[in-house]
Amino acid sequence: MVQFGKWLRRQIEQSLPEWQDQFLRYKELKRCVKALSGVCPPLPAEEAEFVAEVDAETEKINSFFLDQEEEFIIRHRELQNDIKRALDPRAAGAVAPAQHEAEVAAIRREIVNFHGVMVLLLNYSSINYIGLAKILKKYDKRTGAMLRLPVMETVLQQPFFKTETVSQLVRECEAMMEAVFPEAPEGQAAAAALAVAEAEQSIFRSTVAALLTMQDVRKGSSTRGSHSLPPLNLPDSDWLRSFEPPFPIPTR
Amino acid sequence: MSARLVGEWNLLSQMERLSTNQLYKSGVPVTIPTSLPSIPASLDESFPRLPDAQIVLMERELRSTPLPPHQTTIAPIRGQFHSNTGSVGPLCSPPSVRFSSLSNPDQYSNHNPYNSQAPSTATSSTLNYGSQYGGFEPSITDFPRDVEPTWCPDPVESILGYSGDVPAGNNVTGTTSIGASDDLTKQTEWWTEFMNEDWKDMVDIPTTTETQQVGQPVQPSISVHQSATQQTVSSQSVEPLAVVAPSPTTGSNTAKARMRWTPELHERFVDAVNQLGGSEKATPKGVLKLMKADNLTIYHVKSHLQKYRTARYRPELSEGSSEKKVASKEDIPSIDLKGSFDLTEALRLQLELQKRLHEQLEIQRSLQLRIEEQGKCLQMMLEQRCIPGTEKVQNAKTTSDSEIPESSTVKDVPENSQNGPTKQTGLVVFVLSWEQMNAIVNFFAKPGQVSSSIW
Repeated sequence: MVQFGKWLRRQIEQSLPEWQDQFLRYKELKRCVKALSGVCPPLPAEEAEFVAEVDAETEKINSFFLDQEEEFIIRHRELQNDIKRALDPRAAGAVAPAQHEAEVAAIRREIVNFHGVMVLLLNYSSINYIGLAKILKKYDKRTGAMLRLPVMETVLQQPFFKTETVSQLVRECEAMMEAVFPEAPEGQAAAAALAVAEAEQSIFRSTVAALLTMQDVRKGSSTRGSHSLPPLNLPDSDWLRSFEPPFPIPTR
Repeated sequence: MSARLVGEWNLLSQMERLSTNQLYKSGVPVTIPTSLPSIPASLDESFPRLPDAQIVLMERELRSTPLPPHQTTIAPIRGQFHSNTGSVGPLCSPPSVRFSSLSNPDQYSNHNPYNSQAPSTATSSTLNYGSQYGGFEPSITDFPRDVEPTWCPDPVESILGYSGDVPAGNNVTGTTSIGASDDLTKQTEWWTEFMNEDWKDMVDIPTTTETQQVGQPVQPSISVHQSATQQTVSSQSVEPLAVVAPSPTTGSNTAKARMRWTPELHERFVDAVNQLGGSEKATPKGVLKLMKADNLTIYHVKSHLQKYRTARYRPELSEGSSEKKVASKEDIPSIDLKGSFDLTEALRLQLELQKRLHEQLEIQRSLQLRIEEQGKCLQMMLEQRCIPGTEKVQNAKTTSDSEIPESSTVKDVPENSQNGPTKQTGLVVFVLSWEQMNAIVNFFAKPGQVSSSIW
């Protein structure tokens, strides 16, 4: 089993770059605990110092969480407006279908990403909670105190742990998706349609690949002679190349 | 209340039955952390399958027994539990409860530096503190009554068994949510491992508590420990209150107090802004006036307005660019549609993954809450068993035959003799089961000899 500190560090590294500094500073707190005199029961000054540190960390976490939550609330409302606008039949008729489709596609992506970042904030909350619990336990172990339970009680009341609002926004996001996404293909007929579409996709892609390979092969070689095929210069080759790496799926 | 809790539990177990089923059905690879199977067993061993009667009666007894100021209860938990005596009481009385040998004003004034707010906030944090327990107690009381005695480990077991089932790998989308899913599995592992150790530690507490409570030197350190706890309480509890928007709670009088925005409050904000002619025209002062919300300062409105403006400005930019992109590809709409279809599927999958993660986080959170509650419960019961000469003990002695030893503090508790019949009846029954607890805790005190047969 990986050590908790290491696991936490990896969590933080994998999190969104802007969030890296916002997590509980577990390592520093651990050092604080190690630096304690180990007197059992703990010296008042030491305990006060430790508690102050925990408080400061909690405050930082709260502050960040509330900040994000506020942004989410604003963004949520704006997104709802955007969807209404995009789904409005009048608006749909006013623009070219392709443009409308693009708008809808953009909104879908927006919703999914919004959903994702909110869930990540919930994850952030959870990680910090566990971190706090662990560090308090370390403290108790070192000093023989019983600080963990009372402090954790207050942690349960902290804004960053009271995630109901964000959770609700997440659920509303999921509802939004229903409105904006095409019907999920269900049943055999739909599955068949899906398969056909996928086949078309792969045919298309294979075609593109074949064309490009052909172009490369016929680009011009040193051994060109009268019996060689002329170089193939596809007018759309740049555009075709844009399809080369299998259709871009967002990766981390 | 109780029905709601039962309903909640059903929903929870349903939710994760669903999520598990869905996970299996969807064909997404599911990993079950290997450490999990061991947890339920150990929970079985050390997790108190508290017979309903014990919990219920204990709680009744707690509520009806205000802790007399001069009684010395050492452990912070106890003091806190008994602090729910309403209004301003809680924050003030604990010092008197726990620092019988120290001057209260000193203790209390020490806390003020840790409060960034005026004393009124301290009061309000008291309220918050009180309400925290107001919220807690009924749930403990009602819950066991309506659920079978064996509710503790079983739902927990099933949840633990499932909560680790998060899609560990999905090579279609490599978004951060996947990393988070993997790590959620790990999180659950950490949590359950942590709790597992916790229970073992906790049942060792009787011995440590006993040694700590002997003699004079112990007192000052424990009282400071209390003060530290208090500091934590006061400085941490302040925030939620200051932050509660815009309900008429006390506290949060300084401009720097953190505001917690809610969708409803934001709606009011937007209405006010629209009335003033839009986000560009509206001024913080105007908005504040229109909103008429308590606890809202111009500072809050200003920063919120700034965020609002930014949020509205950027989408306009992005929409413009996406339109440009579309224009260049207008000649080949059919391929575009295919592309977007594929993308849609990818997005749908990403969403599914995120939904799973969300679900698991919710489950984990409920679990954390319940485990904390149980932890408090257990802690309390262990302490009551360990501390000689508690009021309970004394009352028990007066009302029934019991082997509980007398102690000097017995004489310091005159108020308890005035208690009504309900309390005493409750105590009698409690004592009877206390004997059981005694035996159990003694049993647990020997490491490695844990068995669930007692329950």
